[in-house]
Amino acid sequence: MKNLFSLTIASAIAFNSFGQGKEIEINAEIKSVTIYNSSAEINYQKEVFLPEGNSTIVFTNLSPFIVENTVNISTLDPSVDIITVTEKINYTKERKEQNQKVGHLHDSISNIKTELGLLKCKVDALKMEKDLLFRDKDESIGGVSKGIAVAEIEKASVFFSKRYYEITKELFESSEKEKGWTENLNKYNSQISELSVNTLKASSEIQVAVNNSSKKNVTFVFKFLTAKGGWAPVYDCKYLGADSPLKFVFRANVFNASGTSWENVDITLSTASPTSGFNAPSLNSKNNNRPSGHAQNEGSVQFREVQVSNAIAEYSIKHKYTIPSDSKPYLIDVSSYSINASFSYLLIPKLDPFGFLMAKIPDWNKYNLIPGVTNIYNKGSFMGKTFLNTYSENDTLSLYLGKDKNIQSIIKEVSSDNQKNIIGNYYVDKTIINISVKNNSAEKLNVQLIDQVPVFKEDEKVKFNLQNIDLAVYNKNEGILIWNFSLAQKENKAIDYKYEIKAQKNDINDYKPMKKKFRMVTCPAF
Amino acid sequence: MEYQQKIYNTLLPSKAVVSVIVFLLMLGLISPIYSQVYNYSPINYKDIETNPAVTASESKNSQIDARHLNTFSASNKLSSSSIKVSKYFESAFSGLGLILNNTNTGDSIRYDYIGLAAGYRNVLFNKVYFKMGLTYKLIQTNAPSGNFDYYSFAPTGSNKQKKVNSSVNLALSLSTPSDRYFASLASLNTNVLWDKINSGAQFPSYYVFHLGNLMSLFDESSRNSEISYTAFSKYSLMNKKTVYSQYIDLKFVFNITRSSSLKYGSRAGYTENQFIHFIPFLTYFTRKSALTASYSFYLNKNNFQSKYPSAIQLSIIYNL
Repeated sequence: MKNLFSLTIASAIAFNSFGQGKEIEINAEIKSVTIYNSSAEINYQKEVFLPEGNSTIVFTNLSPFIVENTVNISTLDPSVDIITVTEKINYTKERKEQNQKVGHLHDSISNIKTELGLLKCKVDALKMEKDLLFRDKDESIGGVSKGIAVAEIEKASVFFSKRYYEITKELFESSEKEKGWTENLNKYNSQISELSVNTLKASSEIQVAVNNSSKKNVTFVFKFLTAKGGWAPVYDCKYLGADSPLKFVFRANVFNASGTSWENVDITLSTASPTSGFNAPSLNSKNNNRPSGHAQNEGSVQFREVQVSNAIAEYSIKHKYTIPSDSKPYLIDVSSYSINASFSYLLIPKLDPFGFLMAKIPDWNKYNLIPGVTNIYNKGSFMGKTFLNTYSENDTLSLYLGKDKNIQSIIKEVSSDNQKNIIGNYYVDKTIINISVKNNSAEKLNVQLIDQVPVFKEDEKVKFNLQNIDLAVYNKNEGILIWNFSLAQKENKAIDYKYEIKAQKNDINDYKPMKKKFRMVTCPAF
Repeated sequence: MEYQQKIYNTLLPSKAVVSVIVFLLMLGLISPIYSQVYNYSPINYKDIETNPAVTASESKNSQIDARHLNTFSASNKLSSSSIKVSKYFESAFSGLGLILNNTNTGDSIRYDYIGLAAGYRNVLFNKVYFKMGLTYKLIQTNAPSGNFDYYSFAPTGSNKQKKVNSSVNLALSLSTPSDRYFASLASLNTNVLWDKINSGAQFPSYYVFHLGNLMSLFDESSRNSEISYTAFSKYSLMNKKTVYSQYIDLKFVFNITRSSSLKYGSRAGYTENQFIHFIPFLTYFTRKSALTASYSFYLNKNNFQSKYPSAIQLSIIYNL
């Protein structure tokens, strides 16, 4: 019976070996990565020496997050037949690529745990000694009642005092050490959690069964898609002066959580939908809908949906980059543009005394950029961040480039009413507004000044009389007044207008102010 | 200023209302002239003829008031019918009123008149409505020369003739919103400068004072009761002397449904230093109208027998 069992095992092994041919294990290197907004296509290329006949090539240490049915493999030698391709995850095999940082952290944790253990031993010993010496003085020193001499008692007292101090001091020092090491231990554990993707032991393998007519070197090219990668644009918008074009630097924040580092690889960024390369595209009504705007969460990376153009854009990155698999964003340069724009300053004195630089960029949509965070620089000064919505309906993008203190306005409102008049059928509220605008810069500036007056519905029995607004554009529905003018260097301009609100005293028991005269601010409450 | 123009347009009275007023004026002018009798009942704060200032009250938005008074007495025949139309123009803080009246005393003595009332209001110290008003009356008498007096006519001539006189009623009032408190002064039947006193039929002249609502002094939130005081002097041409009268008006409201109520009460007064006068009344109110019946009777202070007849008055007020 035992012989029969052995024969069966041997036959099975022999059959298996005959069917699959020789198994060749290959650790392939990544050649390039195409990064989509929320996924990445990893491209490998490897030359393999193939024996004659059937053989199985096993590409190991691949990302464990391969999207199903996205593996694409080929050879550059048409005489080699690829028979089957199988993808699987190997949970038992240690990954050769072990993250060095995590290894160091584990070592540190191990050392700290040893030190803490030793410290605990020392503390226990000290506590035991303390307990032994000071728990019951009668027993420990033989008992005062047994007639020990005063000199002996004095000697014992000095000993107890000295030893008590030493033990307490050592316990205190041990406690402090324990605190420090525990803190470090927590830090290292947190860091490991942060780099949790690197602690993953599993890896994918792709087994390729091939038939080769003669032994030779064959170059295999394969790629697959992983959802554990992506990119988002980051722009630097630099204003260099009213006479210079706007400099627009396009960068991308790239992340990799695929489980394999992308070492010194060629990178291409794409706005395409990656599944389109694997499944036939189709148009449906949903394609025309606006995005729902909900965010998704992929591991520790937060995603958000943005609206992009239908046209797919691809950006080949000039330099090779290394992107570790740690879910952290890595900034890479994409391209830069010099964009012609017209500039003007927006002034809303009621809200802010300083001007906001506004750029109007014509023919904007031709740049085919996707929305992203934009850093604004004004003549070298960082002004702040904004989220640039790159789609412009009328093809001219209005972009605010931050506050500029070179242009300044002061608004003064003088209001008077007839509350103290003895007689009158109307509440009359007169307001005189003086706006002064000054160009402190050394260049001529275009200014758009906006102010707002109260708005009354037509059914409200209020007479509103606005005066001295000949040079302004007046939007009656919103009460918006807009003045457009230019200011030469160091020039001042004064704008004065006034309005009168006249309301009937129809309910003299319930008078309310006809316009809001105060605004709310937040300040500390001491 | 297109926007302002639109606002002004909303504040102007509608063309239809103006047309109705003009039509009524023309009707009054081309028709036989009517007039109104004075007995003491209409001398009250809310009557547009005796207190034309009240036409400038928002409560007189658009109102028609028709009433008839009759003594039903063979020995003291008196009947009086009147129609009063009033309209308040909020945008101009003004009101207009038209009064048409026909009064018959005895068997053949008659006078009619048409009155045009106008009022204007303003606000004092942001707290008090100040109103002033004027009623200009054209009175056509069809009687011998003589003096009309309280339920009586004392002829000084024998030939009955038609004669047209004119006079004005003037009023000033101070009030708080919804007339919670009010005080008013009025001069009635004041001769106009261009219409000299003649030997024709004459009417007595009055000075009137109203004060109310005294109930609000005791109960600020009270809406269901009202007490007001009216005092007036009458200068009688016939007797060449001035007599005084004082009245207290008591009114109470009983709500029937959310849209209808009953108001009841009485006017009680001491008239011409001789008579105790009562005018109990009952009014049925709906949202748009008020129907009132009142009965006027007198007691002589000495023997409780009045020389004046009792009278019944019916009135209907309709808010347009």
